[in-house]
Amino acid sequence: MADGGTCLPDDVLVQIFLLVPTWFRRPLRLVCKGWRTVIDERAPPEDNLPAKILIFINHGRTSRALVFDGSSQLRDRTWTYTSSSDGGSVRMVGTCNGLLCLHDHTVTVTNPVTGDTAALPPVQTTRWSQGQFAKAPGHYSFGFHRETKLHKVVYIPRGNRRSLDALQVFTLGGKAGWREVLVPVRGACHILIGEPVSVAGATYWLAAGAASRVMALDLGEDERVTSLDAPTRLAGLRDTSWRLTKVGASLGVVVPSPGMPLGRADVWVLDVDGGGGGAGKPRPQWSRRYSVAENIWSSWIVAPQLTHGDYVLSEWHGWNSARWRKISPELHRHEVGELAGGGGGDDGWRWQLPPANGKQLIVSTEELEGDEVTTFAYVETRNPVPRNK
Amino acid sequence: MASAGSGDEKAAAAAMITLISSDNEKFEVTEATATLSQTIRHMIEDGCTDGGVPLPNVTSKILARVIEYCKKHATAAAGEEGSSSSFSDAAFLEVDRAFLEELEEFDDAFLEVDRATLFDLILAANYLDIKGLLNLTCQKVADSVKGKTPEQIREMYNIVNDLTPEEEAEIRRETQWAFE
Repeated sequence: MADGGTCLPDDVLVQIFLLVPTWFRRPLRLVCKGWRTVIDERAPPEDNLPAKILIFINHGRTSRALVFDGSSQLRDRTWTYTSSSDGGSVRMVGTCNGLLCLHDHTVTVTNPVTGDTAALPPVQTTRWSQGQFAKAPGHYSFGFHRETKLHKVVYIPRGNRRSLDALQVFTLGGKAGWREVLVPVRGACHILIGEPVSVAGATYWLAAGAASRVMALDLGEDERVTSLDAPTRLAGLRDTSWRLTKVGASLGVVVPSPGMPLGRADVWVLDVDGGGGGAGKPRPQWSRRYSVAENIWSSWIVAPQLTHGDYVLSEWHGWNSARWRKISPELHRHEVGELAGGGGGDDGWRWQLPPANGKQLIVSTEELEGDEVTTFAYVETRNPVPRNK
Repeated sequence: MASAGSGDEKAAAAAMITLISSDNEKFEVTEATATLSQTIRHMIEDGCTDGGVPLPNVTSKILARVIEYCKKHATAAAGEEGSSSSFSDAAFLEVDRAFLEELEEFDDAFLEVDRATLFDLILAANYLDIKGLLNLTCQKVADSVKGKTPEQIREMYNIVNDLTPEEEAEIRRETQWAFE
């Protein structure tokens, strides 16, 4: 500390800064030179932390989260989560600032490094939807809003014939309990396509009922629900193959065009100039960033996070033609640059087949057998789980 | 340690350590209390505590407070060991919880000190390598700066702003969203 009165050694300052949640660290860089140096070098704020690849594998009652450093094949961490009931399974809702949001029968938010965990109360359901809820719970999403520094869990109920016109929102560190947020677009929660994605201060979801609209809930103070045009038109209400994803820190939409033996998918990215959200934001624009091909042996893991720094992941199911059966699946990573670039027209569009040169094996064998694999970006922090009053 | 002594009296005596503050005040503490400090634990293991342990970086005022902390937490540690090995019934868990609450209250009250004392406690905890105390005191500082503006923090901790206006402007540009 560069001053006369108080002098703490750098190691102690680091310990103090690491106890400050990452989302509060940035302004501390303005206190004095010494603080800025120590924070930048040894306790970076949230957007300067190196992101790692988190692979979440669901094996029925038990689920596992495997964390890989972006720069090597070594597995950094493995966490195991077991459902509280026989028929249950633990799913990962999302990651923010080193916190994991998991869903079993209810939602928990945990920092797996410190073990700090908060269990959220069950979401309130109206009486008519209770039966529906038991059969098919809706979708959860976990997001962070930088300006207000609030983490929120959003619950989008699954509609049934009659459309539901409200979401449930839970603010971590705020007033306890789920709050209802009205959705002004009719049918916007009717049939959800894929899973919602929270990125850049908003939760997005795709609703078939809302005819090619991408719905967005601002996670800031006003919690407004708006909608924007999808990058292209949905082929039809039954086309449920679209997936929302994150490309870096932006929203992406994966639009597949099925085909045999090669299927193709375009990845569109939402550009919001100026960023940050809030009132008077510029008109959002979509741009086609990647185009990828898939076949029956291999597929890209596109959701809910597509890119991990310089990498994307693919899952490969080898085929033993002599024995006419599948062999153990493998997970590979590829340089993003291997995906065909954006720009240019449909003619001469280059496709990228997953098992490309330069792929690198990161997980193989029985660990993946018969299970659902999703992928998230993860930063390791000692952030506390914000407590509700 | 104690088991090596021939009689009870000697065993008890062997388990006592003398700590000497920078202003030459002597404090007699049990080994269990003293070994919350990794620094002192290593000294004991190396057998260099005869004639007392001089702590030239810690004043008697601060050392007294540090010992107060260690005594309380050494009892807690002993209590935990006992509970896990021999008791598991609900009544005992209840007692355990009550004790943990008491410990938390102790910690809260312990932290009610002025800024200078807090910093001295941090420095002592760092020098003596007492994890619990260092964590507790650092947490207090961390809690006090989060959500505050740089100006408020400088004022709170008497820190001189040595950033040039240009540097400050640049950091602010990088992070506009943080100051809206």
